[in-house]
Amino acid sequence: MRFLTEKMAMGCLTCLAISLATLWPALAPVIWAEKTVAAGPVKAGLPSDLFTASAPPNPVDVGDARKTAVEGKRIVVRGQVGGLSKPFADKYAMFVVCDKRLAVCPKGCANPADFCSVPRDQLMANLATIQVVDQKGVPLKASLQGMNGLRPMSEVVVQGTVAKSDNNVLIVNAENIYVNNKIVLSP
Amino acid sequence: MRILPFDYSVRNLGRSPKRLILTVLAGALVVGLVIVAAAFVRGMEQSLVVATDRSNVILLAAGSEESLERSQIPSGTAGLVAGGIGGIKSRLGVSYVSPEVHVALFARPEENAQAEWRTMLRGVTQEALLVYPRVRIVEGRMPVPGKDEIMVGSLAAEMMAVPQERLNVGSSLWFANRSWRIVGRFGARGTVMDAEVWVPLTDLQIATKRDTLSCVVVKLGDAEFGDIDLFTKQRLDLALTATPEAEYYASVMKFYRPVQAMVWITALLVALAGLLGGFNTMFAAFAARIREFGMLQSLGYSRPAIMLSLVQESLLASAAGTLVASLLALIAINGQAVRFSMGVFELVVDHRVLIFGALAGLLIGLVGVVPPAWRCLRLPIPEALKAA
Repeated sequence: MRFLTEKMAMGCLTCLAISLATLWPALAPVIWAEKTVAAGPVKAGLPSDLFTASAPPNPVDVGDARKTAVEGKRIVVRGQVGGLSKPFADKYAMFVVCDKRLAVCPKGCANPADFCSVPRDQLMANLATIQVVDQKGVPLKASLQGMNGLRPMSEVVVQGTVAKSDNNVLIVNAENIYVNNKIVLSP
Repeated sequence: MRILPFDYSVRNLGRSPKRLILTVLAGALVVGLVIVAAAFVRGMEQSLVVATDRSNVILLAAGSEESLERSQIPSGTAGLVAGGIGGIKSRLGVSYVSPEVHVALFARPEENAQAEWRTMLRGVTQEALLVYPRVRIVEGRMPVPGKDEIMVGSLAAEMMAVPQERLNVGSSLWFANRSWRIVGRFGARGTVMDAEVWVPLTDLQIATKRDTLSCVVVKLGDAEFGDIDLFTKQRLDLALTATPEAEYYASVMKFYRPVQAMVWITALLVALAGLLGGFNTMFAAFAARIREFGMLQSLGYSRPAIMLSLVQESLLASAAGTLVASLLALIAINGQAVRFSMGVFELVVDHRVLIFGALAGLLIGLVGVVPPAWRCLRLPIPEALKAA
């Protein structure tokens, strides 16, 4: 049995430090690289043409859509993903958008997607639910988060049909979703 | 390599009985402290995370995800949830949906008393017993609405820092400007509910002048969490958010991470102090045996063999100390109640904690002997033989 002498221990530590210093320039870009958004394949069950490369024309902001939307009519609505601390539904093709004219949380906010700085009544009046449904009108079982760069605070333009519209809620069955990956509205 | 016989180490321990007892007690103290720290962390985790029901989902106000006491949702939410979401567990037509109000108040023994006791109140209906199967009524009965009756948890006395007899069935508490009679006691071992006082939901709403709920707790049957989440996002007007009960209490746990870290740091500092003091003691003990080490080397035993014998001695002593600490922990510490802001939890000394304590004892036994032994064994044989 051999002892690891103090000198051997120092030698090992020195070698480790030199190795890290040498390899760091090569490792750092891999570790700290920003993730780029790639338009990957659409999840099974979702329409293949769900995400579009260009925004549908003549969008209406969410706040205005809440006042003018009519059930059963087609609509093009523009907003940003947010309004709740978790705007994406768990395991279903559904997310919540709010009017992009709402004030974004100040810098340092832990979760800007919840728009906690906006008065509750004002926020509620500027929210809409976007869902992708099957032929029976039931939301599909596939989360949309991360698809085509879709994430909290993403600006989106959604074309579809108004499933429900009253004083309390606006629900849109989406047929096409455009995600503006150039812009992520953040504080 | 020739190794010294094992009984050589054992007999050496008995050379100085007083030193052996002190070494064992010191080891027991350090390991005992580590066990207490581990029991504290384990008890808190058990209460807030492990004991939560994985099939329960809490619906509370959006924006109040971190505190049930701050949450306010419409009173009719329970009915909407029961009727609007399929797959919620039910039996004989009764859905496992529990509307609740959570309030922290100060209670008094009677109207004009000066003493104030911090109390966690939960306004519930009969469905709470369906949603929380861990709750068992151990004495009396469930309180009836409209009669100012309450039911107390088995650790509620610890929460209020009063004797257990003060909360016997038949006695009363004063809060929200009226007297409430205790008609039952329940147990919910290992959960935060164990330290609560349960009140009929409508009575608590009237007493606290509110017509809202804090939350609705739902037990899943065929439905998944995603179905509940879907409901909250389709009914944005209700301003609800759904979170699994386990996840809610896990997020609450995060608030107590600094407390847990402080407990561990304190235990570590005391263990370190014990270890450093042990170095001194061990060096003094070994210094007196340098000639013995020189003699053993001249007889043909290598330094590693002598080191191994010394490590055996140290591990035997620390193992004895660990055993003493473990026994004391099981007898005196296991089940002790600790009060914190959310309620009360019990210190848990289970197999995980004991294994952790044993590992700590072994580590102390190993680390505590190597540096002083190495210093004493470094001397060349002639110098060692000449040592006084």
